[in-house]
Amino acid sequence: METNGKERSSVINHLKIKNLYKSMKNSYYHIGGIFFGLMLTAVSIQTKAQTRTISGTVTSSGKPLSGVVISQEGSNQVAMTGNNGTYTLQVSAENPILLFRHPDYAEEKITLTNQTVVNISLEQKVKGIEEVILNAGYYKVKDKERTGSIAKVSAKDIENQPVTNVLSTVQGRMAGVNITQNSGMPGGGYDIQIRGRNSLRSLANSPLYVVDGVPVGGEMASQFSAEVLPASSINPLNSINPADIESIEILKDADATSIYGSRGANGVVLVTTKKGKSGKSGPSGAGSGNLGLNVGTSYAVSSVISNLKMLRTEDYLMMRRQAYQNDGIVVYPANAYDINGVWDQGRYTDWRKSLIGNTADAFTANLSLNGGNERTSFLVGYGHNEQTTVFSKEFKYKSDNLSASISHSSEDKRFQLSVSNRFSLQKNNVPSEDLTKQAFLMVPDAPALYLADGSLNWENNTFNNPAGLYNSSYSYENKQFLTQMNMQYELLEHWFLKLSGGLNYQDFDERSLKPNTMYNPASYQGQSSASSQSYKSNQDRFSFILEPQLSWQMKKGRHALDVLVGTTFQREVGKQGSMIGIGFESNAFIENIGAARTRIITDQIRTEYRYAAFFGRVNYQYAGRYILNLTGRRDGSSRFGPSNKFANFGALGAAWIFSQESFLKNRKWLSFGKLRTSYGTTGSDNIGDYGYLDTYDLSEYLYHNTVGLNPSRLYNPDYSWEKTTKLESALELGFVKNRINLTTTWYRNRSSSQLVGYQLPSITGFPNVLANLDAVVENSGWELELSARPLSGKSFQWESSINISFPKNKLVSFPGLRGSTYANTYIVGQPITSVKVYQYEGIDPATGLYRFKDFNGDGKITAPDDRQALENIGVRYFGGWNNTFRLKNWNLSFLFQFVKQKNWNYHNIMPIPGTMNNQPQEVLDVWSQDNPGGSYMPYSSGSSGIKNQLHMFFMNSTAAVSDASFIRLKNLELGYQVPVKGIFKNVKVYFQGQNLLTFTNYFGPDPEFRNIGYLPPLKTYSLGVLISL
Amino acid sequence: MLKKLIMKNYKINTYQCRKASFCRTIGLLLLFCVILLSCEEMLEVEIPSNQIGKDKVFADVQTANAALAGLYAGLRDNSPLSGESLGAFLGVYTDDMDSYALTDTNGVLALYHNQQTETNSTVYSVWSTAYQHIYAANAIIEGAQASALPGNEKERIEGEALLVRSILIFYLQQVFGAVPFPVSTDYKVNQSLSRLEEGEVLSRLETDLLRCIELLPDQYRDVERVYPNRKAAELMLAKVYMTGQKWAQAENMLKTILGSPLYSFQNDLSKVFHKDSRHILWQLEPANPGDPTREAMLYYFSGAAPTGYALSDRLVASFEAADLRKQHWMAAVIVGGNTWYRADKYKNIEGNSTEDSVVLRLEEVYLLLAEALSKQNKTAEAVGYVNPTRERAGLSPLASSLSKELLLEEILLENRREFFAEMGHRFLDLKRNNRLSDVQAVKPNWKPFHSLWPIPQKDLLLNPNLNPQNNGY
Repeated sequence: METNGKERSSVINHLKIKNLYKSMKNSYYHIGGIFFGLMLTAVSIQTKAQTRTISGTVTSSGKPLSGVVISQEGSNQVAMTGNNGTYTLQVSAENPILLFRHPDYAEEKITLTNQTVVNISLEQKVKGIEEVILNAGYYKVKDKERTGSIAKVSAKDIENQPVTNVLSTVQGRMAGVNITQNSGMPGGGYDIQIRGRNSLRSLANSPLYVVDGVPVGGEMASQFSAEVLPASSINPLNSINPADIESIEILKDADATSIYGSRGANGVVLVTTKKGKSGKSGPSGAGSGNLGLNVGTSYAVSSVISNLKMLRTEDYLMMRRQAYQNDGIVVYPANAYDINGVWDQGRYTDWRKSLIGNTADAFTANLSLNGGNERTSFLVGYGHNEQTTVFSKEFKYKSDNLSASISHSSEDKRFQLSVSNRFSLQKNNVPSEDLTKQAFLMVPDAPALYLADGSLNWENNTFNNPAGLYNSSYSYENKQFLTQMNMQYELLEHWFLKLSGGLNYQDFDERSLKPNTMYNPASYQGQSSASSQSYKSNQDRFSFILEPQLSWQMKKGRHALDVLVGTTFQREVGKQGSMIGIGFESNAFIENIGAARTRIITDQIRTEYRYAAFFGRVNYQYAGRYILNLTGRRDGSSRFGPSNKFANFGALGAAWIFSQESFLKNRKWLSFGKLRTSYGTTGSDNIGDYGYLDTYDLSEYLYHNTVGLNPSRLYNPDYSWEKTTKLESALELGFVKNRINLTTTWYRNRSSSQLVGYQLPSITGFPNVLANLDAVVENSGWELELSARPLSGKSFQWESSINISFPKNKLVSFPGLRGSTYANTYIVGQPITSVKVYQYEGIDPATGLYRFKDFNGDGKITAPDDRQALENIGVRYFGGWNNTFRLKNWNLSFLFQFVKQKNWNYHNIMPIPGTMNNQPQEVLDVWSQDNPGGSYMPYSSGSSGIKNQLHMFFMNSTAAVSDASFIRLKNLELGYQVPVKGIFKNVKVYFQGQNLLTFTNYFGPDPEFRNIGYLPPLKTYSLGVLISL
Repeated sequence: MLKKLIMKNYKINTYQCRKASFCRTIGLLLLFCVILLSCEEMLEVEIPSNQIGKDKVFADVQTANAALAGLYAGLRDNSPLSGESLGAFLGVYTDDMDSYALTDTNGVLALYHNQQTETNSTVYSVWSTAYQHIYAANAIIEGAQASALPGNEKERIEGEALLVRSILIFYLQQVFGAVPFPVSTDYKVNQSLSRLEEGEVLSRLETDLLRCIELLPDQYRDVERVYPNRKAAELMLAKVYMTGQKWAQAENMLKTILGSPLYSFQNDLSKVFHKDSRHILWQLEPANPGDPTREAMLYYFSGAAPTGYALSDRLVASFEAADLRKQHWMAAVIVGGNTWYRADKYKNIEGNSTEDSVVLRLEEVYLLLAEALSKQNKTAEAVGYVNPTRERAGLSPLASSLSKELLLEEILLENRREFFAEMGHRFLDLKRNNRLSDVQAVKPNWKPFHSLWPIPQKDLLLNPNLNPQNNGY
C-alpha cells in the first residue's frame, strides 16, 4: 500500500516537474511552492520501530545538568535533560549507542548492553578551534576543517556596545577588514574595505551584505541628505538591531567567496541573527526551565572628538588686520563685518562648543522572550533605541526593531524548518546641513546666535546665522521587513533537500524642510513663506530570493564527501518618486506639500533587477587531514547587455591538517597545525541597473509645462563583468592544548577588466562612459592573528588576542595608460590610492612666499608637469588588540585599534589664512622678517592672486599630506555579574566606553576620517544592565 | 518470525521507496540544468519608467519636442546662457559689476580680479556645461535626421537643436577663442578633438546658421516665444558676421529681422522684461509657474551690504542723470551711509507670472545695425537705430551729424547701458570693437591676454589634443 502511495506521489511529482518546466518561463514563483509541496509530501512518510526505555541523570561537577540532548546513534529518538538533569529515552536495536551532547560540554558516547539506567557526568569543554562552527553562507564548516578565509565575530565580543550599527563594533577586530564610519551622525554610512580596493571605481568597493541568507541589497540612494550625511550614504545594516546579532562572518578569499560569484569580489558580510534556544535562556545558557526572558537597558552620553584648537578673537583679529595690511588695503570692505567695526570685536565664542559641543544622550532597551521544547523553539524580541545629536536642538535618531523566529524539527529530525521575521523602523531627524564646517570656520567674534527674546539674531542682516539651520530639517523614516525561511529535508540517508528563501521589503521616506526662516530675512529666500521649500521622496524596494539546494553527504571509511548544488533566483523591484512644494501661505503648512503654491511631482520611477545563478560545492576529506573544497557559480544578471549577461566563477581550496599526521600527532607543544591554500575567481556587478541601454531620461525640470527628456548617458552596450582572481595561503597553528593560536595568512587578489566610468574630457558631453579597462589592480598582504589564554584559572581568566594586517595595493598593469584619460591619475607599480602633488619646498627667505619644486625647470609651477611628487595616501598596517579579564563576578575587556596610515591633513581643506574664516592656532607661526622659520606665508585677505594661487598649490602639495596614524581605545567594558537567586537567572551591570582615548600626531579634527564638513566620530560612555529571568 | 518477515518486507519496501525518490533526486538535478538553460529569459527586464529608448524618442513629434524641452531646461538652469552664468561672470570680469564675495569658493572672485587660472571652477563649469548641451543638441540633430517624422517637424526640430549648438559654440568662441567643435555624439571621436581656429569656428557657424534659417519657420511654436524661430537664427548669424567684421552681410540680416511684422519696438521701459512684449525674439521660461527668473534670484540683495554682486560705480556713472533706466533697472540699497546698486531688470522674486529670462531682444538688432552701418560709414542712417533706446530712456536723440568715431563710441556706451547684466554683452561688445583694454582703468590686473579665458586644465589633461593652452595661462 505504502509503496503504491509512494509511486503515485512520485508520478505526481513528475507531473509537477513537467508543469514546472512549462510554467517556468512565465514565473518562477511557482518553484518555491512546488518545492514546498515536495517537501511536505516527503515529510509525511515516517518510519516506525520497536523500542525500550532508558533513563538516567546527567551531571557535571556533581550538579545536575539541564539541556543535554541524548540521542541514539542511527535512530531518530531524542530526549533532553530537564532541570534536575534526568531524562528518559526510547531506544531500539539490541546494543544501541547513546550520544550525550551539550554545546558547552564534551560529547560522550556510550554503548549499551542491557542497562535501563545510565547516569553520566559530562566535563566542561575547553573551546578550541575544533568546536567553532563557521557560517560560510551556503554551508557551515568547522573552523578546523575550513579551506577558506572566514573571519568571525560573535555576540559575546560585541554585545552591549552603545552603537546603532554593528559595523562600529567590529572595527579593529578582524584582520583584513578596514572599516571607517563616515560621520558621527547617527543613521549614516560606513566605508568598509575587505582586503583593499579592488575596483578603480570608488563606489564599487562595497561588500555584499547577507542577513540570514537574504542579500539586503546595496545602500538606499538618499535624495536630500548630501549636506548632512557624507556621500548621502545610509548603511543597510542600520536596520539590524546590534542586540539581535548572533555572529558576523566576513568571507574574504576565493574559496569562501566564489560561491557568491559575481557579487563576491569585495567580500561578503554574513550576519546571523539570534535564534530561539529551547529550554535555555540568556546568552550564557545558564538557568533552567524552557522559557526565558531577557531584559537589557542602557543609557549613554556622547560628545565630539576633535584635535584642532582654533584661534581666539585677539589672535584672529590680529591675523585679519595683518592680512589687509599685507595686501595694501587700508579701507576694510563694507561686508568684512568682523574687522570693519560693525560687529563687536570684544566678543569671543568657541563655535565648536556652541554648535557641535552638546552632549548627545542615548537610551536603549531590549527585550526578548525565548523558549520551546526539544523540537520547536522560538525567540521574540523587541529593541528600542533613541538618541539625540550633539547639535544644540532637539534632533533625534530613533529605531525600533521587532523580530520573531521559530525553528522546528520533525520527530525523526529529518525535517527542519526555521522561519524568522524582522521588522525595523528607523527615524532620523537632523538639521538639513551639518554644522560642523561652520563650527570650525566661523569667525570667533561673530555675533550671538540669539537675541534676548530668544529669536534668531541676524545682526541687522549682516550675519548669516548658522542657527537658522535649526529651523530646517532633514528626516527620514526607513521601514524594513525582512523575512527568511529555511527548510531542510533528509530525502534519503545522506541526501538533503534544502530550500531557503527570503523577502526584503524596504520603504524609505525622506523629507527635507527649508522654511524661509532659516535664511537671512534680507535675502530673497528669506523674504516670506512664499519661498519656503518642502521636499519629500519615497522609495520602496521589494526583493525576493529563492535558493533550492540539494546536498549529499557521505562518509565511508576514511573518505568524506560533501556535495552541494543549488540555484538562485532573485528579483528586485524598486520604485521611487518625489515631490517638491515651493511657497506656502504660512510655514505651518510646510509639511503638507498639497498646500504649496507650486507643486512639482518628479519622476515615478520603477526599476528592476533580475539575477539567476547555478552554484555548487564539492568538499572531499580524506582521513580527516586532507581536505579539498571546490566551489563554483554560473551567474546571470540583468545589469549587463545581451551579449554579456552570463559569467562563470570558481575556486579550489585545499587544506592539510598536518598535526594529525603520525609524526606530529603526540607532540605536546603543537596541538593543531594546518596549512591551507585557495585560488579562484569572483566578480562584481555593482554598477547599477540599465547602464547598457541607449535611452533618454525624464528630466525633473519642466520647460513650458513639458517634461523634458535628456540623454541618459553615453552609450556603450558592450561592457561586461569585472573579475577578481584571489590567491591565498595560510598557516594555522595551535599550541599548548590550543591555549595559544596563531594564524598567518598571505593573500593576493588581482582584479582585471576593470569596469569603470571611463573618464572623458567634458567636450564629449559627459564626464565618463561605463567601460571595461584593461587594467589590473592587485591587493596583496599579510594578516596575522594571535590569540592566547595566558590565565585560565577557576576564578581568574585572561584572554588576549591581537590581529594585524599589512595590506598592499598596486596597479600592476594598465596598457595604454600614457595615452588614456588616467595618465595623470595612476602610476603603474603604485597603489591606486596614491596621488600626485606639488613638492613643497618651504618658504622663500627673500619673499616669504611658498616654494614648490619646478620639476620641468621651466621657471613656472604648473600642472601636471610640476605636480609630480608622489604621496601614498592609505593604510600601511592596521589591527586591534583585545583583552578580556574575568575575576569571579567581574569582567573587564578593552580593545585598542591601531592604524598606521598617511592621509590628507587639514591643510588640504584650509582656507587661506587671513580671510574671514577662523583658523587653527598653528597659523600663528607665520613667516616674517622677525620669524624667518615660520611655517605659513604672510596672511592675505584673499585679494592677492599670487598668494591665492600659491595657497592652492599648498593645499595640494606634500605639505597637505602627513602621517595620520593613531591608536584608539575603541571599546572598554567593565561588567559585574550580580549574584542572584529566585526567579532571576542572571543579572549583569556594565559600563561601556567607545573611542575613549586617541593617541595621534595628526593635524586635523580626527585621524580616522577627514570629511571636515561632517561630524567627527563621537566619544561615548554608557551604563547598562542585563537581566535574565 | 512473522514479525521478522514483516520487518524484512518493510525494509524492501523502504528500499524501493528510496529508489523512487532517488529517481526524483536525479530529476531534480536535471531540473537545475533546465533552469540554467532557460536563464536567459529570466533575466529580461523592462525598461524603467523614467527612461525611453532613443529610437522611440524620435518616433513622434511629442517626444522629440520633449527632448528639445530637456535641452531648453538645461540651458536655463545650468549653461553659459543661464541667467546666473555668463551675465554675472563676464559682468564682474569686465567693469559692469563688482563681486562682494569675501572668499573665493567657486572662482568668481578670481575672475573679478582677473586672476583666473586654468583650474578655476567657474571657468570649468562654463566650458563643461556648454559641451554637455552641445552633446544633447547633437543627439537631437542625429535623432531627427534618422527619424521618419513629418518633413516640416523634422526640419524644425533639427533647426532648433542646431541653433542651440551654434549659440553655445559662439559663446565658447568668444570666451575661449579656438575651441573644439563636436558635430556628433560619438565619444570615441569627441574625446580626442582638437581645437578649431577662431576664424574656422566662425565660418562653420555661418554655415550652420544659414542651415538653421532654412530649417526653421518664422512663426513661433508658442505665443510666449519660449522657443526660438528663424529670426533668432538670423540675429545669431548677424552676430557671427559682425564678429567676422562682415558688416554688409550683418546689415542685411538685421534688416531682414526688422522687416518682419512679428516684432515691434517696446516703447514702455517698464515692459521691456515683460514676457508678452512683442520686441522679444527668444526667452527662457522658468521651470514652474511662479518661479522667479534666475537673474532675479541672483542679483537680489536688500537691507545689508551685498554678499554677491552689485553694479559697479563706473557703470552707474555711465548713465546720464535723466536716464530712466537708472530708475527702472537699478535699485539703490542704502545701509549705514553706504549706497549700493543692484541690477533690478527682473523684479519678481516670488509669485512671478510676468517675467521670463530674455535671451534675444529687438534692441540688440537696433544697436548691432547701428554699429554695422557706422562701420560702413552710413552714420546718418545708423543714428536712427541708436535713438529709439535713448528716447525710450528719456534721453535726447543724437544728432545725425555725429562723426563715425563719436557715433561708435555712443553705440558702445548705449550697449553698456541697455544690456548690463545680460548675457555678458559688455565683454562681447568691447571685444568686437577691440576695446577690452578700456577696462584697465578700473581693473589693475587686466592684461591683453585676458581677452580669452584659459582652457580648463581638467580637459587639457584628459585630451592632450587641446594643447596648447591659451597665451598667458
